[in-house]
Amino acid sequence: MVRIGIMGLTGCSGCQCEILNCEDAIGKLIGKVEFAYFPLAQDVNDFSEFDILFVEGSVSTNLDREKLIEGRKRSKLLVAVGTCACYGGVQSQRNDEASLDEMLKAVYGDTKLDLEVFKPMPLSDVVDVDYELPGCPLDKRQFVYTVASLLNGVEPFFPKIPVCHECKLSETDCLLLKGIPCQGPVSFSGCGAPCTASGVGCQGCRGNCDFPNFDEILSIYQDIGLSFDDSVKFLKVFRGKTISGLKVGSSNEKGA
Amino acid sequence: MEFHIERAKVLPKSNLWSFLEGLKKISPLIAPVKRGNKTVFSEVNDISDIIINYTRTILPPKKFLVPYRRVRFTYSTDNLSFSSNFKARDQIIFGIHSCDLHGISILDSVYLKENPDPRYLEVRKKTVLIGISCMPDDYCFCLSTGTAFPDGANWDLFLTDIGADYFVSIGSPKGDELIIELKRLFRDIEREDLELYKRSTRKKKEAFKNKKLPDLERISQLIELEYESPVWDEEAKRCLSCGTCTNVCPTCFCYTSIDVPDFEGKTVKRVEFTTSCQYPYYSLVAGGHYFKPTRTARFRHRYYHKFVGYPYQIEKLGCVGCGRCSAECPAKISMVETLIRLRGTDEKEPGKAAEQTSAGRSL
Ligand code: SF4
Ligand code: SF4
Ligand code: SF4
Ligand code: SF4
Ligand code: SF4
Repeated sequence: MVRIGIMGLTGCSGCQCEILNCEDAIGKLIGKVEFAYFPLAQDVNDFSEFDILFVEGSVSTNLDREKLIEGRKRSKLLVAVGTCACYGGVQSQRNDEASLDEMLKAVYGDTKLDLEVFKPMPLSDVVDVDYELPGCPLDKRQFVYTVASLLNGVEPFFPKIPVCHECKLSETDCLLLKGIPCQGPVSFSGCGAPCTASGVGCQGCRGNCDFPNFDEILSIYQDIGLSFDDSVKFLKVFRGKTISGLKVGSSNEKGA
Repeated sequence: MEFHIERAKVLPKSNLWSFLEGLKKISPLIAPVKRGNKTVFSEVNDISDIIINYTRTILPPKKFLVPYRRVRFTYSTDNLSFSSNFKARDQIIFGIHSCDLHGISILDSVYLKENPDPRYLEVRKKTVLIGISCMPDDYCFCLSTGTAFPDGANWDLFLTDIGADYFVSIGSPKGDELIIELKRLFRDIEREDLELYKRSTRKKKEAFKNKKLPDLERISQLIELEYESPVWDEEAKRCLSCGTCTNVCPTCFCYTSIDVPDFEGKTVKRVEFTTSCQYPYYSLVAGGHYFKPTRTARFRHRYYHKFVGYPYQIEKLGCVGCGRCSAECPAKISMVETLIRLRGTDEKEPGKAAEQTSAGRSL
């Protein structure tokens, strides 16, 4: 039987909960696959070997790192689930602005921690990752589609097209044109654009689409009244590593 | 089907709602309804939701002919038997503007001319198209594309506002049947109605008088001659590659198709979904090569396809001047502006400073 593992590192467990919310799919899977390791959901767990290991969360301690390296060794496929695992997550949005010491001081003051801590990083900084399913949280339909594909030896296909695609095809009135900051044009779709449909600009929780045009989006944000600094901060919230050190004028051309 | 003006009818405006009610009894009725500040085509349950005067819907009525996401078929991996539970239903689409009717006529050419798509054909056969006249806003340029009026007859009925009444042109036997079915609501045309009809045509043309219109004279050549123009780079720099311009276009037809297996791997769904030439992956092939590697190349490609590609493919321009691509572009890139700027680099006299000829076509 195919052995599946689902584990969490530094994150909020939201993605694991979202996986648990795929009730129909899990119902169908039980009996066909073995959930060998899923501590969030079951008491008896076995971390010996896997066909597919889903990993949530970013790597921010030596424990995370060891567990991840171990998991990688024991699994044929490793899939990063959620934005923390894929890009570092919201906890890494200021990685390029402050030193680790400053961060520790701000959070823990003078308390000594008895583990090794680093700036939160995506799984791919530590191990090879076979597939990435970003999202805060990940999208249930994409999880189910990925599992179905991998079980059948098919490559899941996620073109990195912008959120505007799903937004426009849902006939949502464009927020950006109404002066509401929206990251749709530079963000990876797949969520179905639920945020714009409810009138909230896309926050970019799924990271970058292919070759995002940051120059133009920054200039649009400034046209609608955001300062340059706020515009950059807004873009950085979820993009973690993929946008750190963003400089204007550097995002153009080269495949763009 | 020929267009016989003398067979036209008149629908008094006071009968419009009875007409719509009558249509709804015949088939599911699709019409423009309000969504926020915009209008969208949607199936209506209550005819009082229908918006008669609107400028443009976010998406064209195309979505009721070719859905943006569709399952083409499912197949079994055991015995490779294919199945589809697709069934076209009768539907009436009311309130389509002239540009969108022309858009559908372009789709007809694309889907039916060579290798007809049986599914599209079935849907088209079961769909009744009822157009309505409209007045342009600042994004419309249908007068340049020759699509401001419902020539041809790929539609069934067309209502032109002539003041107190609608002048109802009949484009097909299906249109005829509807008129017969709802006969009591119509009256015969009189000489005066014809005068009013002509006047309404004039009125629409006049409404374009102070608008910026692109000059589409020898447009295919222009695009080819100006293939290396710096205008492409300058415009594309602002382009977000967001795909909105093609997703909202009534004539775009590109799609991606993927196979989605179930958990057992026994049945596989072939899913097709709309895509855009503005997305980098669109031109990505095995080995990681991009046929359209730069934003400029992708940006230019859309214009190239609309004004050079379509004429080769179907002998018509691929643009009906509906203005959606410009009205919805989050970067406010305007097709009309781009075309005017290209004309500028093309027709400026050598040696003279680049001056834009944005006067458009005189009426
Ligand atoms: S609201 Fe945002 S995601 Fe939607 S079309 Fe506008 S920019 Fe794109
Ligand atoms: S619309 Fe944007 S913020 Fe909302 S779920 Fe999608 S990617 Fe995330
Ligand atoms: S809608 Fe505008 S920004 Fe988006 S791809 Fe088209 S031209 Fe570019
Ligand atoms: S290219 Fe633009 S103006 Fe022309 S038909 Fe398409 S959306 Fe309308
Ligand atoms: S190539 Fe681009 S412009 Fe042409 S039909 Fe496809 S999406 Fe539309």
